[in-house]
Amino acid sequence: MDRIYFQDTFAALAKSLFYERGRGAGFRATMVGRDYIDRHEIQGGTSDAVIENCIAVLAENNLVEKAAYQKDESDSFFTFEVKGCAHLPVEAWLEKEGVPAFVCPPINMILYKIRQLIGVAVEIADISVHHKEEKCIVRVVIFKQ
Amino acid sequence: MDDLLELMKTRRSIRRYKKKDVPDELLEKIMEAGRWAPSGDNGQPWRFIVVRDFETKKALSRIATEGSGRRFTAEYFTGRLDERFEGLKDEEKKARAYQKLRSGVVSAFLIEAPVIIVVCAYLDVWDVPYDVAMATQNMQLIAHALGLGTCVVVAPVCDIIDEVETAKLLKIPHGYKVALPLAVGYPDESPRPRPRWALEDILYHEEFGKKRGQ
Repeated sequence: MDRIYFQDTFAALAKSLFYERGRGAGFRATMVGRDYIDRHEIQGGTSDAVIENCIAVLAENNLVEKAAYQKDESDSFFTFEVKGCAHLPVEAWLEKEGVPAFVCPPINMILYKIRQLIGVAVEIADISVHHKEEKCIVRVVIFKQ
Repeated sequence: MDDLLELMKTRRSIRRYKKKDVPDELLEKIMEAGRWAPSGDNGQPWRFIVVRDFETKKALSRIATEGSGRRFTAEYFTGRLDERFEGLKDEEKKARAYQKLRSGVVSAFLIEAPVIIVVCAYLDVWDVPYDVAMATQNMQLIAHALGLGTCVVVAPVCDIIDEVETAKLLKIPHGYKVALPLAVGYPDESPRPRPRWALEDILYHEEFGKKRGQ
């Protein structure tokens, strides 16, 4: 199977969505990735446990090489560093086309499971792609509403 | 013609309403204006749900509040809220505004609206967003002409996760979507006009960025 075909297709669809919705496109893509993570048994009684368990599944299945995160003093603002993500070629294509990163399926999966299992509010705040280092920085909020 | 422009200029988004019911006859006029909006291929995707039930309004308000709260909390931490409020120098006022936005309460007023017209859309139509937007604009203008206030509240449908919950609440069938809730009622506030770009700043001729005579 030619992976480039799927990467090109995903990228073209993302570009279409961005040109339709502009900055609001991110809010229309928050469910991307859910089906995949639902195929796996994720458990955890805290946000940290859910994050670790999701990252393990993502890494085991080669969707990401590795991922780590840290929280600020508020305990609500998380910064994820995702290395070697399967979506990096898609982001490279989008960047070439002038489309900013607005969807991160791996983080969507993590936030979805946190919301489902812990019941707290979650939101991606921003995404930045660093192609040279083959990593993304995704900042998110996780908090009790 | 001038009357219509004046109507457009004086319309405001109203978030505070008098505790006074809106008669069905007026609501029907509003929706009648909606159904005469331009529609690509005459697809007429719009469908309307009139919501008066308190429990439904309460549920919509909760979804809206949570959605707004999440988005503004994210903007707070990234510093985007600071950019939005750059002009506000009073730190106390700023802190109050931030608190209001982060809690999502800014979108909670749906519960107070006497009526919510939920504009839905049939999806087997080519120009859904444009048609729905034009219908809503018609509805807002006629409502204003009738002495009513309206506010489009996208908070319960902005994020697709919230839209799914809203659709479930309103029993939207497959093949349709919730486009936007429109709060309707008699205004209990008179907001000042929001700043607008001057026409000369947004008008180009023949190609983007080209001013007349260039």
